[in-house]
Amino acid sequence: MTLRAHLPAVRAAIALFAVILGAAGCGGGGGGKKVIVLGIDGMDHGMLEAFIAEGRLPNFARLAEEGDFSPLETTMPPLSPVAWSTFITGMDPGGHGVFDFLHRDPETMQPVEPFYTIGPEGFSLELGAWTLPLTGGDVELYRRGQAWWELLDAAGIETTIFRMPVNYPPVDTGGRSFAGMGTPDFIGGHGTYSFYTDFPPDDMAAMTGYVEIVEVVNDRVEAQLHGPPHPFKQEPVGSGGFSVSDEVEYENPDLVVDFEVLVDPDAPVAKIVVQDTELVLNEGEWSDWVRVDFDAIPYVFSFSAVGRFYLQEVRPDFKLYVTPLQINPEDPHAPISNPASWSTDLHDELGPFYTQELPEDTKAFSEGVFSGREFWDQSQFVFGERRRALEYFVDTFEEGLLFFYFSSVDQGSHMLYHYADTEHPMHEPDELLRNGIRTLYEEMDEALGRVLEVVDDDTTLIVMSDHGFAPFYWGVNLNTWLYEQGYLALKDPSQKGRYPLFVNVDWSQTRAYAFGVGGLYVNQRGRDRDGIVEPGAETARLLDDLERDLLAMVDERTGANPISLVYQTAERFNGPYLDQGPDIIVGYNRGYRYSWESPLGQLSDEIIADNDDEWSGDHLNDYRLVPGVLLTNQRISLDSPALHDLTVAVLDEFGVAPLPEMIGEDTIEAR
Amino acid sequence: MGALVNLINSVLTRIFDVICWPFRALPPIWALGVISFASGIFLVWLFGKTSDQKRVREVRDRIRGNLIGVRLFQHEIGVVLSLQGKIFGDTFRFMGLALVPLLIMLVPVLLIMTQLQLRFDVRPLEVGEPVLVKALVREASTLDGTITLEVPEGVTVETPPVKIRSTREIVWRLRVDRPGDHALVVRVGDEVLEKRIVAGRGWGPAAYLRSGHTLDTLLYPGEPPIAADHPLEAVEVAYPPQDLSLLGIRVNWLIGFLILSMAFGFAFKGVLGVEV
Repeated sequence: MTLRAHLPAVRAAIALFAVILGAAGCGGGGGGKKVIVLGIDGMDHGMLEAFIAEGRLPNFARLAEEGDFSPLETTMPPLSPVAWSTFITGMDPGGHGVFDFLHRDPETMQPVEPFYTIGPEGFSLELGAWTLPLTGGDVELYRRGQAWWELLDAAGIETTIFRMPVNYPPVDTGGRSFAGMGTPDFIGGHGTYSFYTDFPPDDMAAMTGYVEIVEVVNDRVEAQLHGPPHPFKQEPVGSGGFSVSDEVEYENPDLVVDFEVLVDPDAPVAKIVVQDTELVLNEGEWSDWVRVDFDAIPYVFSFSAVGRFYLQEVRPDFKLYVTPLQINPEDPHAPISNPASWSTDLHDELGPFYTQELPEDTKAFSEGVFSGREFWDQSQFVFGERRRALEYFVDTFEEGLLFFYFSSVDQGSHMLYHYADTEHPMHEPDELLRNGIRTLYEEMDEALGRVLEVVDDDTTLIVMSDHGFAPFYWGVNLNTWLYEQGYLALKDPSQKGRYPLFVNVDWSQTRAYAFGVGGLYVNQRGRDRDGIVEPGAETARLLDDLERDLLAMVDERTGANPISLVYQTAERFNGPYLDQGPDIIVGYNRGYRYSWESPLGQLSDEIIADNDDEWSGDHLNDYRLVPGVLLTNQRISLDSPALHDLTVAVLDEFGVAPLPEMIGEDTIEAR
Repeated sequence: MGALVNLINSVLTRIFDVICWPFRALPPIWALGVISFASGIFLVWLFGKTSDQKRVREVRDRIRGNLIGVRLFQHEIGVVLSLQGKIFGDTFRFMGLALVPLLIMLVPVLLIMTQLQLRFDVRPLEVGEPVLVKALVREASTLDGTITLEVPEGVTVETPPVKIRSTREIVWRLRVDRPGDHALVVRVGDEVLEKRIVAGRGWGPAAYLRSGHTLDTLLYPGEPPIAADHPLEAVEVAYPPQDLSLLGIRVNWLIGFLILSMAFGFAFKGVLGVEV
């Protein structure tokens, strides 16, 4: 046979070779209008102005001088989910339906999260202890209204949205977006760390992480990482124990992965073995990201997570912290990006990264697992990771719109305020952390400098924040105040501070109650489960009474009014979802905020108490006291721009008309 | 035996170094593709030389003919069953004819795969990337004495050793700050053992295990075996896995090699006049 006779085979082989080995080049389009929006959660106008004046933020100073700089009016309440939802939709809470960090279901009086909902279960196949869900259980975004990038996408504008809050699961557009605040951790929580120790913490029952008491036997520790509940398998509750009931209840057990820590007999160092990964850590060291796969059905169905280990102490006490496990961006089992494959693409570019909302572990700090310095180290890691992501986006951004979000200033301002503020009840001296917030602003300045390098004549740059900050000295328990004012009644007054979720509330005598971080509700007949106040005139009178009395509240220790603004939502907001929110939103004066017990309906002995938590700065105030910031390389045309104006401005940059329900007006004009 | 295996490995390592040299600046999948191509051709040629091609062709022709018969007489159930029986029998005959050539091919396949494993299973370290170095001692009591790791300039030991009696191991974490092929020295009393560590050279050979077992020496080429009387049984550098991607999809080097070499082999069997 001649070679010619086999040419087809040769050609096919060459083609196969070329196809398999060929690197497909992909060039992007270029040119056209560019808009970069840098969203810096919690950047405070007053602090930014002061740091600029001190000469510490040269890039912010340059942008303010060459462009424009203004306070940016936040929402009422000035809460991140509310404020970002307003920026996203251009509507107030009545339009987008997000009023608080917590909503209440009026039929059950139980808390409901305003980030996402999980649809009802549909059909499932039951095989003994195994249940195979076939339909239902879809994750849906709670926020209503169209996001501005949906409108841009419809107009053919390329959009890249990285970590926009209240966007889980991300809205389905032709652009790319990665979910931000509201994105759960691997187990579906808001950041559930794990802590393994042979020295039980004092207040273990109140800790929100998994705390496992371990034993060091022959220099070896055995422990487990906890994953989400098994999706298919059920086990009897309390199996193995004695039960007085004949009825057997079932629950899905947690998926777990065993790991071991092998401690050196002499040196403060240990080896950690998790599945195929082996690490060696010195005492006080963090690991890099470690992939952990939780098998639901071995070799068939598993969930992938990533986590980092921190060997806090080897001896005399053994202490190991593990970050909240993250949905693995390389192989996500939940809808964290749009398109779904973008998460994997980002992982390929950036490596593993935090995918949960607000990754700075404020809970570990508040609950005594972290010291201030340890919190600082962990949050600096988060910032570094985010900064590297910014570098990637700045390098690859060619046209359309890029939104990029930073959480570090917000989370740092919450947790480090008391180091800088000598008046704070929690103040403690620490030379590094005293300047912690300022350092975060300086880091943002460096990041802004990098962005400014790619801003050309075709680029509009917008730097904005959702709200500012204020100290949190004193907590106000609104339910206790309502009780003492006679608006709320208790079944057993002697048990006043004991139960959360209104367990001790006598609904038949209660006219108003507080729920969530800033909301106050009338116990209205026909709406609330045990409502007694008639809608209409009776409700209106009650709201007026509440407004008057709330504004008259006086802190006898300071002589100040803890509440400086009362918003009756029906008068202030518009939109189809007005009935889902509170009837009154309370704006606290500087230094005050809701107390820790109040949001879930627990009363306390005193109405006002000192804040004794490391969470020492906050923004749940009268919105006029905590404006955000707006900087741009263009001109700000409104005297007092607000978040809802910025929505219209972003659309207008591309000549896209706002929707009729948007309440703002364009605030950015070409210089 | 260990010395012979080591000699074969040394020669093969040089040969594969030469084969891979032109592709060192390209992603490793290119070299894997070329080696798979050459291996596919070579293995088909070897099959042709070591098999009874006349009988193989006869059996294959009979199978083809009977398959056509099944289609032609698909409504004659008796004929179809009879033909299927013949196909079944011939398939076994074919497997019998292929057995000896396949056993012969196993030797070069194994040697090729050890070389591929050396280059494509793990990758050299990036500069500054941490890595664990683990030494396995023959007797757990050796851990009670002094075991040290000596590193050259450009390599930093980041942790004290962790001694683990239950697994007879001692493990350190290192960081290589200077690109190159460095020598680590594990010292156990008066005995020393060298282990190479490679960093910052893109992809290339990275021997992660140096062992005293003959089978390990065969499977993990790149460094001489450890003497049987040495207190250390093995030393391992836990290099990170090599990231091989084919059209954007991550592939295991072994699966990639098997698929590519078979595809190329089948594509060129006609050119070589070999019936497979």
